[in-house]
Amino acid sequence: MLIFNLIVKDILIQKKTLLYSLIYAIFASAFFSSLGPNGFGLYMLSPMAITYMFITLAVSYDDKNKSDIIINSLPLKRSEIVISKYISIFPFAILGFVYSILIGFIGKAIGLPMFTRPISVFNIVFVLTSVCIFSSIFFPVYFKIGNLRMKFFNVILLMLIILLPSSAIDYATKNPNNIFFQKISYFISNTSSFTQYSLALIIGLIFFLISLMISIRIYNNKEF
Amino acid sequence: MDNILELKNLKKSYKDFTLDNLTFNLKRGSVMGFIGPNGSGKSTTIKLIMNLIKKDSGAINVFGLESPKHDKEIKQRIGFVYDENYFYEELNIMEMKNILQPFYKNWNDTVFEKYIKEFELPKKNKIKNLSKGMKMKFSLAIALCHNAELIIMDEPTSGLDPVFRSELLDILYNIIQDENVSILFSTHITTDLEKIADYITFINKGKLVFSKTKDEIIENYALVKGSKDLLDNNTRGEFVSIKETSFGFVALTKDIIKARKIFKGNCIIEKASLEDIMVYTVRGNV
Amino acid sequence: MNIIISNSSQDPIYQQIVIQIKTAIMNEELSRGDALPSIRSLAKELLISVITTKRAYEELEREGFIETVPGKGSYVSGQNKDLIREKRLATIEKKLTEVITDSKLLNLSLEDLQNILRLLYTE
Repeated sequence: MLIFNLIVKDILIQKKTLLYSLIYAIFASAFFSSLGPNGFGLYMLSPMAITYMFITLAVSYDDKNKSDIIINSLPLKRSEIVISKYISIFPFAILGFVYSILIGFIGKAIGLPMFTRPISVFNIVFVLTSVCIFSSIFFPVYFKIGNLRMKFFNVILLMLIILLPSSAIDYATKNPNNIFFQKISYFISNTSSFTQYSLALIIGLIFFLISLMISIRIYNNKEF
Repeated sequence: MDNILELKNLKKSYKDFTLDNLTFNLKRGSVMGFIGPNGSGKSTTIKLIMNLIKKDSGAINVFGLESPKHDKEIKQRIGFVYDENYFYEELNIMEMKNILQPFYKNWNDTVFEKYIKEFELPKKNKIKNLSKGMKMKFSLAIALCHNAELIIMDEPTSGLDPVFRSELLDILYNIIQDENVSILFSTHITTDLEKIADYITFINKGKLVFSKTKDEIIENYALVKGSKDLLDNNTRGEFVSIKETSFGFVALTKDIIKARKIFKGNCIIEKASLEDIMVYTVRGNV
Repeated sequence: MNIIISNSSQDPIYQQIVIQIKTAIMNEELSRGDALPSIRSLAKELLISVITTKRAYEELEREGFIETVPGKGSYVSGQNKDLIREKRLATIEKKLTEVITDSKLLNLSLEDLQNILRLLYTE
């Protein structure tokens, strides 16, 4: 399928990133082990950062080479081009997970102190949901204003995605009387993990699909 | 003979430029030179055909199919060569080919290999290390190996030396031995076209000046050179434009036979090259 | 057979080709049934456009020098050389008769006519 080939292209043009992201994953697991609960750096921060890296680097290669012009001269629909970008985040995220799992496994086998547990479903769901939400904001903006003007925006967006959940939790613990948070804690303690995880993923996907439709519309009207 | 490309009343407006009611056809199996000064609208026209930009009004038909409605189908059969290289610089030729190949149904690897060999392109070098000429040849190899029926070239030879341009001409002559292939060649280096082009379409400031057979143009246009006292209100009207110097005038006429009758023996009348025609027409604001 | 094109000649290129092929046929460099190069390969060899070579071949066919078989190519036609020569002479005679008629209307004498002919011939 053509969309598959576009995704393959996004990976092929950044073979170096495969290596850099692995190195990053190794460092992230070590450096950030103190930042959060066990495995935060390895199983959450690292896959998120790796996915972010792949997405933004793919886009910057496209931009540097002005390859939009070639891609849009190929027998492809504009919607196919957009869809391929959206779907590409999943192989990237999976790659991030694979690196994390590999490093965790090796770390545990060697007996290093911070690698005590394997990846959890919570990690996977959290990362996937964040990555979906990140892309949902990133892609329409990218398709609209192009990569050059985005560099600053990217960094801000990344920080938000990482810091927002933790500061929200922070705020919640300091204000236990807030009705909104009370309702949420009630919900969390009274529903199964499965329900919570499914809900998170569904919300992520809804953002994702809405963003996809917006991006397709933006890209269909774009002129090169 | 049917038309492989039809443009009808094509219009596209920008802030300070408008492509205005452009109409011309490209017959199957022919080579059309698309000429005009910089900024005349050649690239805009080609981008409209390739659906890189959207028309305001008018019709574009390629292979009898409406564009942009059948855009994907049309592009299967078009090979394109642009003036700048938009390939991924970090990749080498084979890697770049592998990225493009899956999108074309009629890709023929044997033909690709043949061209790579003929053009002497190094397979393992990164694209960013190739010379401009090699990049262009690579573009051409890609354009030619998926059975494209229409080759669109947008200023492919700008920045390339005459030796290379002559090589390209040989390559194009070989391509058109297949009577199913048509070529649209946009350029402002008109000497490239003087030989191979069957038709010439000339645009200036977004408007069509003419679209005719090259023979008709070469046989009817002429440069008239003579002394200034031959110019009066009557004779001035005969010309497309006139250049006057301290020593005489040079003027372009569209009708060599008439010019011969009017000036018989008093002037030098010479064939006008495509470049002369373009320069004098643009100067005369026709 | 050699075909040499001059870019500075007054004659259009297709005309030059027509003349040279006709000459080759008349000189028996090309004989009846010989295949001519395809219009596309001729264009390539001479570095001209396909429309020009096509026009040349069409004129040669019109004048009976060659025959074109669709899908196969062009061949020197079966008409023999003398017949062609006779045909051309007949055309010349006809044209000259027209010229003479016009000249008589202008009261030109035979000598006047001969002078004009002499001037034009040596041009």
